[in-house]
Amino acid sequence: MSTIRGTLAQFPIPDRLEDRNLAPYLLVGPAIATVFLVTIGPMLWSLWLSFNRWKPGSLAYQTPEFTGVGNYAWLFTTQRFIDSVINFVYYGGFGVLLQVTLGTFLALALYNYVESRAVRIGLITLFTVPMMYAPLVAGRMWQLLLLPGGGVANGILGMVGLPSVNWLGSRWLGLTSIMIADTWQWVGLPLLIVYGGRASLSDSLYEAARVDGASRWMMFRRITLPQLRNLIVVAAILRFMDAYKFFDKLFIMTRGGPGSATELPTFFTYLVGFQDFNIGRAAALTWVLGLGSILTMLLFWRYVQTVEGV
Amino acid sequence: MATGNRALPTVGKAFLALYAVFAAFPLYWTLNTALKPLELINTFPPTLYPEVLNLSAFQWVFSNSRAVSSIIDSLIIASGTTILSVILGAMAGYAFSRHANRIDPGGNVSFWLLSTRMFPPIAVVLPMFFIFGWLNLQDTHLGLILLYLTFNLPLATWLMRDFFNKIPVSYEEAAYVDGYSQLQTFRKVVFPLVRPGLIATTMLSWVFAWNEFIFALIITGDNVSPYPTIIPTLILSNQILWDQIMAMAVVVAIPPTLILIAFRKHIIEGMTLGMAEV
Repeated sequence: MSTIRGTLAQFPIPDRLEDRNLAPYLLVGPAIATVFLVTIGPMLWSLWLSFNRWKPGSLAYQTPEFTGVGNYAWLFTTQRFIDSVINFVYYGGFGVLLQVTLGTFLALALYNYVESRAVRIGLITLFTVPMMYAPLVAGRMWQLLLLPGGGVANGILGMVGLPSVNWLGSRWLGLTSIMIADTWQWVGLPLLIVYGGRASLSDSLYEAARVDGASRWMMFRRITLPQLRNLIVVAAILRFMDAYKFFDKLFIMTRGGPGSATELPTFFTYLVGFQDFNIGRAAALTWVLGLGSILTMLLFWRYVQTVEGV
Repeated sequence: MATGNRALPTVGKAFLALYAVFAAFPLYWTLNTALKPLELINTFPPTLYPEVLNLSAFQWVFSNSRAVSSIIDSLIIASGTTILSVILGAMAGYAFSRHANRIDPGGNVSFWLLSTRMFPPIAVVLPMFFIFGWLNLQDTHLGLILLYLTFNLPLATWLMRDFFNKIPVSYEEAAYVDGYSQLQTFRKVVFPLVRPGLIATTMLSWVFAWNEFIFALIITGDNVSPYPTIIPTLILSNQILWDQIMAMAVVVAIPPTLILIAFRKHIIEGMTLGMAEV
């Protein structure tokens, strides 16, 4: 018994309670105030900082000094930042595609071909349990599997007679290896969303198609995919949003290396902010990232509203 | 076509079995590594199972003062931030659910609140590093407890709103008709119904705080060090102490694993922001 509820959308509860008092404001107030104190306020201060040169610890810019858009100009003329954005496009694009495709097929295979409820629950638990672990720890686990010398991945290659691979030692292979580790951890999210969506589709559609002699492929193409399209997009956007924040696994698996080859924008921001202490520039970086995540979030909200009542 | 149709279930099952091996292997390897002596970890061909159980790495986790205090720090911080975010989030979630027309038209306010969770953490921690410096909150439990509200409070609010939405308003109206006060209604009617949701929100907030790394890396130091911050430092003259790291990984993975197994249905609902029930 599974249902997808359009709960992300409004569940229309009319305001019929007769208390025209301040209670709702008093209940919401502390949460909103806290969010202003720990997120919105500091972010606005950092927006102001992003227009300043500030490098505490250096002689030149000990206090913030207004430079206009200087930090942003620096950002977009710095090759290292541009490279990290290219890495992000590769990592985010292919990573999300991989996770969502794999998650969708796993979910549909689970729903269609596993009759035993116990096996289904067991597999879902196995596929989702990595999501509950610290990304940092998952990164360490995968680093161990991918060790350049005697790691298991190379051990398996050796057994079938293939040469060892330095999984984390170059730009594209390194990013791909991190992508696989992240897929191992997070494939459960698209899987759960698609599984829930498939379970809520009415059987009558498929019955009708069967009567008309449709093949399984036709049913998949013409019923399953179109019905689940928006949910799959929602899952993809959710995973894409996490790609903006991606830090832990990169920190532990490659530290952006070799050199700066596998750096992603968040990691570059961390280096500018907390190794160079170039706070103004780091603030500009965080706002470029933040703007990206705000736009993604708006897209998410639009799609979530279309999922309403599926 | 017909043969293709008959082969498909087999292909689907084989695909699931193959992926299950891929999903389970890193978990098995973590346990295997934790139980092996360090010199057998980086061998070729790899040692597929420990021939003698070697518990010294687990002994280290439970006796080394740094390891023990890091786990205690993580427990304090995760529990503190969970209590705060669930209380504030449940209050706000209830108001968003029951007074949506007045304070949350179209769900836009609660969604705005949720969206603050999506900012990259590095963007929040950069200004907070200096603010905490002025307030003497760096390297304290309280500092991280407050900072973890940035992701847990929006989540708790959103999930609690979702859970309250599932309780029909008519129950409360009936209680009012029976002469219950607002507080009595909440205690005797709403609270018992929302308790499973409250437990799920609590567990999920706790897990997210337990697993957090980047805030801890930047804000903490000598006095407070949650377990993720010591994992990158377990290195001895260029040799990574894999057995100790993996023993620690096994120990810190136990609470989240038990939580998922015990509260599977609600955790799944929470993980997908209320979109999927399995």
